[in-house]
Amino acid sequence: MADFFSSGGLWRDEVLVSVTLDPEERTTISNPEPYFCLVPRVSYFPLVLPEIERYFRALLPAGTTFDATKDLPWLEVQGQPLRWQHPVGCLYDLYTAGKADVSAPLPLVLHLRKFPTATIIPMHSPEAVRAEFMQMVKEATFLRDGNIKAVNSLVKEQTEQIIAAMTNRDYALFERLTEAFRGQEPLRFPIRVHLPGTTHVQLPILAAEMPAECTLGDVMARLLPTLFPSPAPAEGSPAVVAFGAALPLSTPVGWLLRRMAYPDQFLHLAVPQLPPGAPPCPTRPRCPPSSGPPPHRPPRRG
Amino acid sequence: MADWEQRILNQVTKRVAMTESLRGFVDKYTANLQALVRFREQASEVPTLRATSVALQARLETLQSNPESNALVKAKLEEAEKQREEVRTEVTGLYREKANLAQRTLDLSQQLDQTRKESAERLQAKEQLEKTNHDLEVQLGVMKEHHSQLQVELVKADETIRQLRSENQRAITELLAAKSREAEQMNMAKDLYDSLMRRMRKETAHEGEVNAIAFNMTGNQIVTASSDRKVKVWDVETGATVVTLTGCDKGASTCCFSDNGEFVMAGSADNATRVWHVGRARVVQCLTGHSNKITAAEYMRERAGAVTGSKDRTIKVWDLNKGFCQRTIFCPSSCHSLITSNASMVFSGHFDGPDLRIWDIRTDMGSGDPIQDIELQPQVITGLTQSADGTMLMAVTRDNSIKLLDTRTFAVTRTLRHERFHVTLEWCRGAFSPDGQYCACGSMDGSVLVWNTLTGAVERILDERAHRGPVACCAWSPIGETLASCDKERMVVTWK
Repeated sequence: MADFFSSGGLWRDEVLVSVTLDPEERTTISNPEPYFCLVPRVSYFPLVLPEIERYFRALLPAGTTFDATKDLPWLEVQGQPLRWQHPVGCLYDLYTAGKADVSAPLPLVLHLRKFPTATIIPMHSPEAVRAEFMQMVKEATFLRDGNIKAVNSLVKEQTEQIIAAMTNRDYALFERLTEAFRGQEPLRFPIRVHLPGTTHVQLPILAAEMPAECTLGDVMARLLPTLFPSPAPAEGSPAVVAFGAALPLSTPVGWLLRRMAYPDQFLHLAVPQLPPGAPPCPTRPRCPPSSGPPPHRPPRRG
Repeated sequence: MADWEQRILNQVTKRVAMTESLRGFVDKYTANLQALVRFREQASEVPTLRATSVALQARLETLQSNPESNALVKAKLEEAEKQREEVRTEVTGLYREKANLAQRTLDLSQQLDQTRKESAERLQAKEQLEKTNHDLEVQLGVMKEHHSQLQVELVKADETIRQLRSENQRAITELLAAKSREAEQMNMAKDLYDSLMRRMRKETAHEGEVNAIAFNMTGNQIVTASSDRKVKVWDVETGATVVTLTGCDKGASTCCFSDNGEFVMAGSADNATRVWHVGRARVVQCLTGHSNKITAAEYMRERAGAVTGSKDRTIKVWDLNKGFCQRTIFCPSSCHSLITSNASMVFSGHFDGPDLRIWDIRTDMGSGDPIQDIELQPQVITGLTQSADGTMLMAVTRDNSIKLLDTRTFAVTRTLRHERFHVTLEWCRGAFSPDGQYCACGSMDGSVLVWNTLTGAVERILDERAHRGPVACCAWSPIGETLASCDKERMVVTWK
């Protein structure tokens, strides 16, 4: 089992999702059966959306009309629009409250009207998903190497092969194609920490400023000093979850980046349960003035 | 395996295993759902399909009920159509006939008009012809009269022609005689010109301007130095090149024969003076040491030495046995021309030219003073020549004059000038006849002037358009019968 990680065992994992229809669209007396399906952790929700949509549209009475410009389908979770530009696995970890119980599905609600343009990105075509994915790869590569030469030098065929490898979950092929990205030691850590609410925390942490054997605890203490006052595990410190596993704070960051990063090259960490006293959305910690460039903002996406 | 890795692995593998166990159930559920969807989609289509089928049925029935009435109507229609067609062809034929008739009427009326017009014209023509006939009869009378007058005049003219012809014949014979006389004169003139031409020989000697010319002691060879970097030795009788001496890196500026005629010495603009053996055409000595172009080089007749002058304002005395410089004389200005006499005297003409300097190389020249300065007018001395007996010097100066000096008294005996004598070149040099009675020098316009040294009068101007440019240098054969001159336009001319 030692090579579980290096053989892409994580990519095989799937999460259970249950989808119900927006109650406002419901026309039958009884509730329609929820749609259950297994979605790969390394996939994206917009890719399974057409299948779900097809099921629920068949339930609608004939003659229901939609405004083609505004009424695009979208998903809701716990009363918020689902930020589906993040991988399925990290969303699942965030919203199933870290329950290790695999039988707990991620409860989603499908909406067919009033797309919340201000909150989420329209990603209804496979091309849009691919573009978003490559954007994330570029961002992660820039954080790690300080430049995106490795991504920019890809020809179109290579890009398509990489995306095909991701959608087919061919871990070996994907590793071979993206070898060029992961050559040297990272300059900064491409890490995102997702918190309940609408935000995620991402700071350019210079690898040189961290201890040599940098652990997850060091990084968390740096990113979320209010939740993790010290790098050492303490009583009541919230769980950090990735791929459904609560990660010990002593785990080396290098190993995590190498083994538990998503295909978009980011290490997505979820902190699903905040301690009772903590604010629901902790204020973003300020960068220390000596740490060079200002906090990296994700580039605008269209 | 580390504790943390073990913990992660445990959680993850547990999850994956559980997912696997769920897969069968979920797949079945999804399949069912999809089947349900398909059923619903198909069910929703049923009413529309049914309606369509009913509509189609109705249409089919109406179509089936119609065929008989259709055939009847069709037959009627066809008949009517046929009748219409017939009527149409008939009408077309009638129209065509009508058009033909109209056309014919038009043609006939046009013919009638034309005939009328023609008859009127004929009447007019007849009247006119009658009038013309009358006029012609009148004219005929006048012409007859005129004709008789002309007949008389013709007889007179015939007479005149006869007279003129005889006169013409006479004139032609006279003309022929004159022409033959003229031809004779032309022949005479040509003979005369040929006899004149025989007196000189022109040669395009070099590819560049010819700077210096000199005879050997026996007078059968000439040496020329040219800016084309070649020094050539010529046979005086045949005008053929005896030998071409090469080796100069720049143009040769001066040249002379040794006394025995075996060697040629030439100074060049490449700061060196070279001595060639004429028979072998090889450089035997190269005298280097000057730092600017050589302007003059002369043998010391009795010392196996040479004297050279240069633009670097020095005069050097060379030992030709050993081949090195014996002495260097520093002058205040560059030396243009040199001559040597009686073993130790050196005369030098200079650029600043107020005087001709005379040096004795036997004296200690550490002081650097000439033993004698001869005051001339402040002019550039371009060339110095010595008479064969050594008593006379000739200095060509830039004020278009030649000064004759007595070497015994160091005094100017005569100044020679002529209106056609102009000096333009800085290396213009004249020549004495062997008996010292005449001296010659070339001018800017290509002529060579010969003066009598005793009377100072111009004896002769050699100008047969032999030279095309300024004459640079003259040399008189030691035997006395030949004068050679060279010019800037590559030409060497010998005169007899």
